[in-house]
Amino acid sequence: MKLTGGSLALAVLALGSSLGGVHALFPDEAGRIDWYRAQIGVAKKMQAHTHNDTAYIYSITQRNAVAALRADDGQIAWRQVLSEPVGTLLARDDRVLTLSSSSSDAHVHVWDAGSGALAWGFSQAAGGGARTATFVRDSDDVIAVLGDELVRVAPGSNTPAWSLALNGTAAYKRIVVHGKSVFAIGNVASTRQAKQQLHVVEVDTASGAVKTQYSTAEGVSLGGGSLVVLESREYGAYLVWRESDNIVWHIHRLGMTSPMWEIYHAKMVEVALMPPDMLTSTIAELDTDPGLNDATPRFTLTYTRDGTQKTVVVEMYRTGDKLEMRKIASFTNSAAVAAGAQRTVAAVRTSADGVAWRVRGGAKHSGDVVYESSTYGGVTHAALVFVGSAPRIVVQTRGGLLAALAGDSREPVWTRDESLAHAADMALLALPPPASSAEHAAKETDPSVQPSAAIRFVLRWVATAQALVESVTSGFGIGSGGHGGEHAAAPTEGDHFGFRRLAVFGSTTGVVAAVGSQDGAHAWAHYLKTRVERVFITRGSQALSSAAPIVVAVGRTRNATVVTALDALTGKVVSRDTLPFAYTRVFELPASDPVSGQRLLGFAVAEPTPRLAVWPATVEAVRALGAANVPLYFELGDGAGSTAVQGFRAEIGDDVAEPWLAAQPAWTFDLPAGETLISTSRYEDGAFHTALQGRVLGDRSVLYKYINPHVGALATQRSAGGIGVYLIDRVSGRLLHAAEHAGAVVSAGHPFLATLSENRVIYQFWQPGAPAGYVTAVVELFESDQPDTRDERTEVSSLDLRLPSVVATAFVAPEAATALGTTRTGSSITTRDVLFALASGKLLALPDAMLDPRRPMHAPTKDEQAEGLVAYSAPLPLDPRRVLSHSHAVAGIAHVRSAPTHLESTSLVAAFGLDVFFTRTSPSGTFDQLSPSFSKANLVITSLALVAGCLLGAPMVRRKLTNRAWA
Amino acid sequence: MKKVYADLTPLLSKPRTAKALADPSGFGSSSTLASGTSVSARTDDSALRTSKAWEVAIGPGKSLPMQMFMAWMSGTSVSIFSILITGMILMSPVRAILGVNQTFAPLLRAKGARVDVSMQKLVFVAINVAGVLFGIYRLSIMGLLPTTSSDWLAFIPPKQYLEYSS
Repeated sequence: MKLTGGSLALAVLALGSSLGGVHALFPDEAGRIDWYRAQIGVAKKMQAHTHNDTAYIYSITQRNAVAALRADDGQIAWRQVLSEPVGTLLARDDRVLTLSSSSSDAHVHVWDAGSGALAWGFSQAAGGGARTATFVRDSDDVIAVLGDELVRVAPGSNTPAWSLALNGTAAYKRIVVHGKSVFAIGNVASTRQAKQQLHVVEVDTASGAVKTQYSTAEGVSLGGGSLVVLESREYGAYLVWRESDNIVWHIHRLGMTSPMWEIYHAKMVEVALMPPDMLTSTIAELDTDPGLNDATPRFTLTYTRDGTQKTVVVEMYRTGDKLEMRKIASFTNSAAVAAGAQRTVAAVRTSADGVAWRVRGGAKHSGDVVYESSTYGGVTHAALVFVGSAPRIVVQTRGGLLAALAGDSREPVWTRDESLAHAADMALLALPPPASSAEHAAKETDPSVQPSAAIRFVLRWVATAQALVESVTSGFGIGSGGHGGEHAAAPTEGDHFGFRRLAVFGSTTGVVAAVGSQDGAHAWAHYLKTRVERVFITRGSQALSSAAPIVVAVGRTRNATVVTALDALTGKVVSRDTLPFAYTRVFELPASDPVSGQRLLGFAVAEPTPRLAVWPATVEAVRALGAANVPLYFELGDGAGSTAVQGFRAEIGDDVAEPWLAAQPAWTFDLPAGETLISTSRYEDGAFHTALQGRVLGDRSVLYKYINPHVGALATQRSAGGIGVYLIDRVSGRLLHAAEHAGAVVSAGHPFLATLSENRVIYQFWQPGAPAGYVTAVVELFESDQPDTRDERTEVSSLDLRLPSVVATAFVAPEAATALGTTRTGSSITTRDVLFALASGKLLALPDAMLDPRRPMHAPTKDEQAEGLVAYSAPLPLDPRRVLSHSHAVAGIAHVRSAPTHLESTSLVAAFGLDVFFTRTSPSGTFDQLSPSFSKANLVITSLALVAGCLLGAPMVRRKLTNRAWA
Repeated sequence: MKKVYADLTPLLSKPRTAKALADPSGFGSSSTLASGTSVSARTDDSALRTSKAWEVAIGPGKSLPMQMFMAWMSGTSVSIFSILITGMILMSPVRAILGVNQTFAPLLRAKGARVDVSMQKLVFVAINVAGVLFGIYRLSIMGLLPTTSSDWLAFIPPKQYLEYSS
């Protein structure tokens, strides 16, 4: 950029083209440079159900999804992602019933079982949320407990057919529809001895009139493990419970108060059961769709004897008037039991290296599947479905793997990694470019010598030349196309362009999983048992190096921090440390561990005294940090709800005895009265880097950027309404800029989002009123408001820095966003795209020139045109050509990350949350790549023709020169 | 074909008589012709060379307005055409300055006294320098001269911060 006129013109051209018609991607790139995986999350409840001869697994998940998976291949047949937690799930005939509740409303949703379309829905204000619901038999109506009301709702109706106010002190979590009665069963506090008991209200199904109500089952509660509700179409509905400290079961027929209950002894179904075992036994409901059984409802009895857990499946039936029970199957050490059609049951047992499954009740089936529970944890849920006559058991593991087991195969029929739907953090491991055989040979000749970059370069060219010769001699193998870096390589090797990385996800389900950034192929997974909050690459990978790259997962237990280091290429645990503190924030430190060569991690710890704990927790690591001689600052009180943010300076003493540094208060930033913190935003790793330290104006003067890696953006909720946004320096604690948005509303449905890059802070919030919209504010910081004025020091301290000059403006975002991000490239020369993850599932990339706060309100003057500014217009366009996710609806994006590649033009973009989407984008076009239509064959042929021309022409020229010399 | 010859020598050798017919211009008597030519030829030659040298010296000045017109026509935007024109405007005076001695060499190749053309050379160089200056002015209005702070922006190193924050 020596000649600014030229560069200006280029910038104008680039800007013009970027504002014009740069396509996010070409049609032929869709699915080739990107990959997308729809996820549903870890199941809370699964129900197998066959609809139109297709076996589905219906599931509601911890990520608020309602989904139907095809049992034969595990693909999502349909999925609905709700904004609030989903409770009840019931699939019957061609309908799927779910309940969900927000803080104030309860919703009944009835979905079409085949297509997932909403057949009908009903919403009602309900303080206690939706509790339970069921279908009315032989009708499309639904009876539900919404808040403290029992309602019957008909399809398409806005008002319930009838509603009944229930006792507000009881939590009615279960309803049973039998014959012409509906029973609402709730937990109430007994008047005697302050014990729990059940309250039953019998209501006429048609009119909603109360037939009778009574209390029963003292000392037990719904969901307590000692009570089940059994429904039999033929014989009625029953409660079976065991009182605490009692060895017998009480059986109560709902609606019958005299006698209130009969007594039954479990030894009659399980002879081996001894009274002490009975006292610790639990019973649980088994049928996923109670009420469909003609005669024989089932439940499980689980007890432990001599350290062996035994689960007995009990079936209730009648002979004449006599109520009987019998054992139909029993399993040992089962992790999950599932009911299937035709009285079948399946149980799944997890061992250290496999999963065993058994199907009983009808024809017997069994199988063993190789499965390392260290990868995704043990099984928690199971569902049994029949594909044809063959049983198929779908299991959900604690870590998030969903797998189908069937037949004689030792491998699962299909698997889904749903831990990615719970990813809290992701780190991209750069893989070294593929080493050529020549390099390997050089390494083998002398393993101690690490070839220098120059030698490797030469060796690589030698190898390339050899490959070229080989391909020419073996018929012409030089294809056209510029994407040479996309051949399949070993998982430990990357490509020359840096596109191929290993994305290591850490999820709240406790799984660390690595997938290929180019294709989503699974590399490894490891179950850590503790929820993972952050993932760091503490040691990168090097070509031909024997030192494995290391990824560190930081997890949290109640009052301890678990730091697990894993080999980033294999997932093997290298070390696992439990640190005796709860951290508020973890970050990389500017030093490496002298022993392992890993980057040090710092933990900001508030209790008992503010300190900076260092990992690896060794004195040597702290000494290495001291040797780096960099003043370290961190904050506490930067979480939501805080009213003051406090900055600390870590003190590195001369004699280091503990693996932590004491911290001295450096500053306190008190929020104005009546304001509480919503969130704090910082630069993501290296996002403040810039190639140009200033902005060139139209008159070729420069406004110098205020580049300060210590800038933090605080968003606060004002008690008087609205939000405040404060930019502070996190080393000096000084306020750099303050803004208030009086009408703004920040809530769970309308989050405050921010992204920082270079000298720019972009944040978005919801502004109700007229006109309402999502406001995207852009704040750009400059060293001075006067051009050509700058702080000329190259080494600066935040403590004696001038305050920045601020240029800010606001735009209206096209849609609600769930996450913001900015693209990053290697040298930050390429213009940046601001990435909006929209709630509608689009990943939108807008050029940063569009979000320029210097855009003039009038038609741009000549100077402004030369600067590349276009006239301000508030709405940011939702241009389909800028949607990186093209046809995919990437649901629930919570994080948008970007990483540079070896090509300056191109950056990797990852969006994850519920779904996962990886792509790469070139905000200024692929100026440093050959176009796909470039023909290498033509180039080679042309070069050869020129060489041939030279060889043929040389004798003629020589003769001519000789003749001229004689003349 | 019949050839006709006319002998004109008697006319030349005709004795001069009073009031005789005046010679047509250029046909003076040989002695006058001879003596007159030999003297005035020497003096005229040096003047001629001097004037010729002046002509050469101010020659580039005559083409300057044309170049200015072409420059104006090509505009100040950076395009291949305007860059070619500006390159020509810049390069031709530079080439002329470098070749100043060769330009004036034919005028120095006299048999008699040397003609002093240093003044002319000076003017020639000065005019070409003006041409160069005009070219540089063109570069500057086209924004191709690194004269502003923005031209050195890429060489400004990023600030190093002494502190490290979380």
